[in-house]
Amino acid sequence: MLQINDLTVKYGALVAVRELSLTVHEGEIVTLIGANGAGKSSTLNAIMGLVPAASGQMSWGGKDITRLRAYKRVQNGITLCPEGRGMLTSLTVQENLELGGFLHMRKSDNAARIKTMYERFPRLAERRTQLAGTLSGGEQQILAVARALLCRPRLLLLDEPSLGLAPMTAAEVMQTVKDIGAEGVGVLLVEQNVNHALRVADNAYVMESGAVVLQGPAADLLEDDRVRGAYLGGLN
Amino acid sequence: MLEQQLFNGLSLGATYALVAVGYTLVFGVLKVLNLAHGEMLTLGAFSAVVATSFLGPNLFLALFIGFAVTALVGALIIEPIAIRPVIHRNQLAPLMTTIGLSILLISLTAAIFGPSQTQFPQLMGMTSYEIGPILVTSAHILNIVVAGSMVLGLTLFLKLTSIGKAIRAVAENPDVAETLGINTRFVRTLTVAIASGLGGVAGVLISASVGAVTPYSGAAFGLKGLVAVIVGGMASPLGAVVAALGLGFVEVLSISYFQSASRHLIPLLLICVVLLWRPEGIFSSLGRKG
Repeated sequence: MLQINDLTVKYGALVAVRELSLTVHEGEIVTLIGANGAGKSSTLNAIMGLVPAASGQMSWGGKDITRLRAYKRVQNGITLCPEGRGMLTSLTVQENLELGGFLHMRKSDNAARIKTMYERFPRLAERRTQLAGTLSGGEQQILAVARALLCRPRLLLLDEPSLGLAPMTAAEVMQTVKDIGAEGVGVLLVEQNVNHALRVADNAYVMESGAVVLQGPAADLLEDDRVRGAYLGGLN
Repeated sequence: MLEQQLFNGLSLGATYALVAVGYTLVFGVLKVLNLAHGEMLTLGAFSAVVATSFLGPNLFLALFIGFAVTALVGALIIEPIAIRPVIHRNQLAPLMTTIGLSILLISLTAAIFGPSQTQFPQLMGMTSYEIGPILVTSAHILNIVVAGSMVLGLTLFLKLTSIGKAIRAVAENPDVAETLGINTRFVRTLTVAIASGLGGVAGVLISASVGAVTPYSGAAFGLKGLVAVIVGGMASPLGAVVAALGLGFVEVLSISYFQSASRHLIPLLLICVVLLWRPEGIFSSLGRKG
């Protein structure tokens, strides 16, 4: 279980996240929604350890991770699929996937797991020797998710996985997110498509100006007038 | 005559290439120009002098010690002390700290070995072979084989091994590398260690050809490697190797057709011309693709 208490993130004088508390259980999909600049990505980056927490505590499986370096959090089962997909564009698709399994490279089933990813996402198999930078946006997104899964996370932080994708591909990515949750992995999802996000998530937090202003079961927020007015305007 | 000069140029250029890849490796991964790299040549050569004076003049011992001592200096001094504390503060700070370290190393070696030439031991027999019009000496073979296999070995290491792929990942995007469980701080230290070790080997090769080493020789030959890097394109190891070989040819040809003092002048003039034509280096666009 991921437990965040009163997390504050600052960039110089700018407060990006203000005393945020949230919980993600294993196998649970939690979504963070809010406008651009509300502090969603900063929250994910702080949980990953890429930006420092100015104050507050983060614990994972009962262990305090607030001061742990990012790669050690990965060793503990947390990984991030960064916004903008975070492709290593000068490496091939295959090399990106191999690095996804970097921590597990001595395990005999690592190659088999990469093969499983190719079976799950056949379009990656066709492109395995291409540089990741030559892939389309949707293919890069799928590669990013596949690579993150090869880290064998128990908590996956997903930053805008459907950003810029065609509706069909976005729906495919959302289905994958749902499958990942069903496999027992905790998912913390930041998504600009609030409708998509609330439909796959179990719980949701709404952020404004760095702080949580509303939280609850995703199904309830989907019916909430404030959420509908602010983020789902025009739907239904 | 020309064939002979071209071959001499290849041999000299191979050692410059080995120096140059040390700069590009560190620049590619840490985005820092390590100006103490030239002193790794000096340090590698003096380490070999000391080791062979105790254990006898053995070529492999000299190369191994040249690599090991400088790799340790890279891992324990250059990266953690001269680069890591200042890398995020100011772009110019690592330039200053590595220059400072190089001055310190020059002064230390001058204090220990004296400021004038120290004789470099004879590490192998002086044999030579005539292949057509070309006289091939054992020093030629040593330079080309050792420098060539080091550069090739580094390329394969980066291309094929897990650690090599991790180094390339950190070069492109350290944050993404961390999210994959790669200890980027360790990768940076390792990168400087490898680059420094290659510099140490280059120092042994160059000193073996010259037959002597001074506390200042590393600075002079390090500058040649740096020139190759700038001409080739900072982020392009392949460009640096090509430019280093070109530099070797130009230098050898200017010695034979003009006078020996021109060996430093003519290459630098050519470099000015190249940089006026392509300020970003000849092969800079290749760097993106590796």
